[in-house]
Amino acid sequence: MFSAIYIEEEVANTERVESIVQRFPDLPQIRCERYSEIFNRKAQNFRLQKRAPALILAKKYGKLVLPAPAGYGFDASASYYFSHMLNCVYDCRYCFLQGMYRSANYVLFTNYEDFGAAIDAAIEQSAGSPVFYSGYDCDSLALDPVSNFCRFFVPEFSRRPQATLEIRTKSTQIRHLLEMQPIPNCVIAMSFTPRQAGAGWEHKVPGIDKRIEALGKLQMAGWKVALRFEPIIFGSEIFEAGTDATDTLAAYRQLFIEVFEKIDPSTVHSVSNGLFRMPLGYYKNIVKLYPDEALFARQTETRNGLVLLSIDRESEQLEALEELLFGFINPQQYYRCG
Amino acid sequence: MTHCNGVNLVVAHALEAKPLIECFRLSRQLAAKPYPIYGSEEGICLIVSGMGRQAAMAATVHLGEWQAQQMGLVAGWLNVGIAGHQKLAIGAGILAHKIIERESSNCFYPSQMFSGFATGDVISVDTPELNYPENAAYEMEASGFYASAMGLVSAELAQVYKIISDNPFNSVANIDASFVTDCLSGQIDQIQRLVSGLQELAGAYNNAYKPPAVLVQLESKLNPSVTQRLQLKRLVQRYHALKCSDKLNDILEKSFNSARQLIAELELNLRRSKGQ
Repeated sequence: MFSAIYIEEEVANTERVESIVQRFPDLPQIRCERYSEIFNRKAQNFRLQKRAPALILAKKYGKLVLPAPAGYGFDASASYYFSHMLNCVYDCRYCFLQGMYRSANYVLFTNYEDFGAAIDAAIEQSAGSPVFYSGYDCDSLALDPVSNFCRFFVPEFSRRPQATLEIRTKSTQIRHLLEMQPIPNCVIAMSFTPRQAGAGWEHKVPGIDKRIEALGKLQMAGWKVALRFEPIIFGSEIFEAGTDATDTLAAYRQLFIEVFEKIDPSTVHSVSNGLFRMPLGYYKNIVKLYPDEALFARQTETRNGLVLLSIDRESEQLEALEELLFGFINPQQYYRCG
Repeated sequence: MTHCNGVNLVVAHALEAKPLIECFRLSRQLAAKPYPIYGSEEGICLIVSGMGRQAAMAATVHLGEWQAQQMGLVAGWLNVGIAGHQKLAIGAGILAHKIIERESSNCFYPSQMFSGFATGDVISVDTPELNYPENAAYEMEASGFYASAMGLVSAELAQVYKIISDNPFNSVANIDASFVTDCLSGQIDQIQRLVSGLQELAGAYNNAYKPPAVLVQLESKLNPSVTQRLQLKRLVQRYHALKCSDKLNDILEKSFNSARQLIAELELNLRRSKGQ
């Protein structure tokens, strides 16, 4: 799972870190002053490092809770995100993290209590019911057996009923959630792309069937679940029948059938989709990292600092996809991620 | 010695080099001066740096520059040598997971890319350490080597492997020529494993990032500016990535008066491609 564990001196003797380290007695344990001595240094190659990523246990300083990017979430209320972890155990080729960091190591910030205090401060500053997103710089559930993220943060939000926590994930690590009593202000949002996209770009990600099964179990247990059909990538050669958007729609039709066969749409919290998009700087970094990747060799355009794939009749295709989706859900459950 | 998965070995002393030269069947490269450099057809190269971190630093830079002229591809880098240790037994080997330069207190953290090796701290000192105050390997080259290698390659491609030659129970005074050679020979399997791992990594890196072969032809034919060279490189990469190499070859068969004209044609054809 990890090639080594780096441990900041400041957190080395904390209970949380000790319990994590005890799980991996055979791994090299390397002390450091600050995680930045290892993470994101110059002369690191994300692509090579992804072959043997290490875990870095650290303390997060500075702003622990940040405003969510415009168009990220499902609610018009104040939206924030927090990252107890940097980087993801999966290796999705379309993911912006590859362009954001030079390092593929995982940084786990273990001062959860400080995150709790920062969430409190954000709630105090917000009018209405703020939403907190976890899973922006990582997949919060994927490392849950190690991080115990859910065991800490779900009870935190049960004490803050005025706020909502969205855990965005592609993981099937739901054991800790199933051991808990569901709370009404926590949403587990599972991301899906069609089977062909998964096979082509989502390396190390649990299969669609397993993800649907996990989400179904959560729904049955009483958790609020949500569906994130992102990123939508029209007209890729990976959709076997051809390269036009019609084939993408056919792939999505199949995906929707599979998902809604097991997931009851009537109690789904929300459903979203969003086109592939990425900040220009990250995109440039990724192109350098994967010059041989067909996805990044396609024609692109830049809008408001975001790179998008150039798609013929983009709005029309997106609307067709939404129409398809509305055959399964109530449009009021839906939002388009910008 | 043009090789896409080469590995460079940096050792301080000829006695440390001897078992490695034999193991990897290296022969002296007579054109290389002033350092003794040995090489093989398999892309393994070895330089004898002399003692100390400054010597290791200079030799690493020298070999990097010498190779850049020869082949322009990235190689893996491995510093191998003997070290003293507070606790480890004579003959044990460790892969450095942290290198501390005692003089400056600078720390380096080599990426842990290979499993199945004992790992540990390595402390680079300027004079031999006889008291072994910490649970670490004491030696004199690693920090100089690693700092230089970082200027040549990505961190994942540079590693340090030390073999314990002395400890509190076996004084450094007992080390003689045959002992050094025996220490290295005793760890030759592990060193071979490391070299294989680095070869594989360097190969993966070069396969991903080496410039497309056709680019060299285009550059000599059309004499592009630096910007045009970058544009051409990316366009050629895009054709390959999109599996349009045949189309690229068709275009390149036409004659172009300038790099600008070729770039325009390549861009136009990509835009026209189905699905673009």
